[in-house]
Amino acid sequence: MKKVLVACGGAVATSTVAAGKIKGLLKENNIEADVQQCRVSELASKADSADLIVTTAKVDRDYGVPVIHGIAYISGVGIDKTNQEVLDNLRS
Amino acid sequence: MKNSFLDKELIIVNSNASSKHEVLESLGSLMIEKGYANENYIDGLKTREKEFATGLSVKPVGVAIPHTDSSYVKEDKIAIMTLDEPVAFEEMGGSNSVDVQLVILFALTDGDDHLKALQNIIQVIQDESFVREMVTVADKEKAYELFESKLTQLEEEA
Repeated sequence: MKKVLVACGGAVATSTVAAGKIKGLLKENNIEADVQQCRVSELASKADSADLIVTTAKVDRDYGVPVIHGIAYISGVGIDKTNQEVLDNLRS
Repeated sequence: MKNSFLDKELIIVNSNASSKHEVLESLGSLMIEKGYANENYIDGLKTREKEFATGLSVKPVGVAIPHTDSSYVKEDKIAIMTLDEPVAFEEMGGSNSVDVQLVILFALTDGDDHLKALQNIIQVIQDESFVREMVTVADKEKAYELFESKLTQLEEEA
């Protein structure tokens, strides 16, 4: 099963909301994946086991895994595009 | 059922704060005074905002959702501020500046109890007509009623 890491500063607020939305999106599209939250500071140690990172924070480091900026899960602006990026990454 | 996150005493309307630091100091002080956050809460907010900015470029005005580690927080609450003049926050996940006129500060403890409420509050920010109405309310009673009824509506829809 593919694994998605959803990261924000504290793993409490924005990543909770984003992870909830991503779980809903994957369910609607019949994609099984393990969606986990973490802090941005934990990404370096956790990225190895992940297939995709979605983050609401500014991240410009290369984790060797695709990174999608998921601010749309909070602001709503551009949400269709972000959803499509997530789906494309997990289907590939 | 009343939304326990909201507290009329945690609302400031028409603030003349002129920087994000002033915003964080005003709202943070309220939280500390009411006993919902620890003494060093404001420092926590400033540090987090610097590292992980929370400005959101939504319509019709920018909204910021400052928050910090649960270790600073004693009780799940939100504080609300509307500003007379926009204040610059950095954009979440980006490097642009956002002109913010509505601030919703989250004080969150650990745990999943707040998940649904948090999702609803985020949903509120995405509602353009709600944000427009919110920044024009004249007093905190009105602001409270408006926020409360919007959250209740979202809970019923869920």
